[in-house]
Amino acid sequence: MNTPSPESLGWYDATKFTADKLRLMFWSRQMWATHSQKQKGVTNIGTTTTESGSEDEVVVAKKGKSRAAAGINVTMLFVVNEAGKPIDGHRATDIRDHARSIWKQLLNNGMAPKKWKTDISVEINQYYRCVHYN
Amino acid sequence: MYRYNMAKEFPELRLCENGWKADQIATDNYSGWRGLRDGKDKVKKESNPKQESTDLSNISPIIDATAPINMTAPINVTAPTNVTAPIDATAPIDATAPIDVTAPTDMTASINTTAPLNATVSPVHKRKPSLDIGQDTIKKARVADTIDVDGQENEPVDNTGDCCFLFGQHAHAVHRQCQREFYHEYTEEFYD
Repeated sequence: MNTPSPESLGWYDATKFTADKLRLMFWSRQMWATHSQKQKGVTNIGTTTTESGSEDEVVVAKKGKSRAAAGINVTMLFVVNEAGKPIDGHRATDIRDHARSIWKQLLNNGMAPKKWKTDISVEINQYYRCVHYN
Repeated sequence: MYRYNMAKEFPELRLCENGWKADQIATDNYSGWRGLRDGKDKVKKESNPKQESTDLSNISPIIDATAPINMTAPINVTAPTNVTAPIDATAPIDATAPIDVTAPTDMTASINTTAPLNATVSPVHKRKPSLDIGQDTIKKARVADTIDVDGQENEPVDNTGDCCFLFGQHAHAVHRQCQREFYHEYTEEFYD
């Protein structure tokens, strides 16, 4: 059995969006790098979008858990919706927790690497194919 | 597959090229998570250590006794020792005699150091010092000798060197003589 294709998940095709939209969504890593370079030295007033779509504007003042508890997304600003609005801190926490659950599974199966590399998914993919589809 | 799992749960992560956003999340968070996991594992292991047998072979002795020391004579720790009387270094020092380490040492006694020292103590002092003794210390010892030879008594003795370990603070009179001989020998052998 083959691994489900990205298309079956409804992966978005870049051709469906305008260039401006793609830039707003940080479609490529380069777009995000350019954006974050411009943001250096700028005081952040965190604007987050909740799942219901309402916008909250919160002045970023404290660090770490207090900001996460207030629903402020600090480190995952590249994860945005189609309108280009960053997800809120709660959503970011959910994503992080889910990622950790995957890593924990890898660790329990002796597949967790010491360091995460961009091409690590090749090895992990092979593992998943062996365990789940063969 | 990691990308697939992430994108399946969170549609926002599909809005990118080659799933780089899921990768970026891993890059930013994985090392921290892994470090915490490793730390927890270490704490677990430390809180449940296996009982290990005590291996005394790895314990190095404080004093490296390379020269033979005669310890056949019993050490008397009850009888008081009178060291107020002048000590004559011309008499041979008997290292086999009992040593009392409980009585207070009286340093008021005068010491005659003009006479040659008895060679019976030399085996102990021929040892290489365990402490790092530099040229300054040796020079200091020579000055003290000169003063002493000229008749000034009871100069403070520098307590560095092997003698301190061997005789302890209750045998200063003996120690002083020994230290003098020790430095002479050491200087001739290693520096002259």
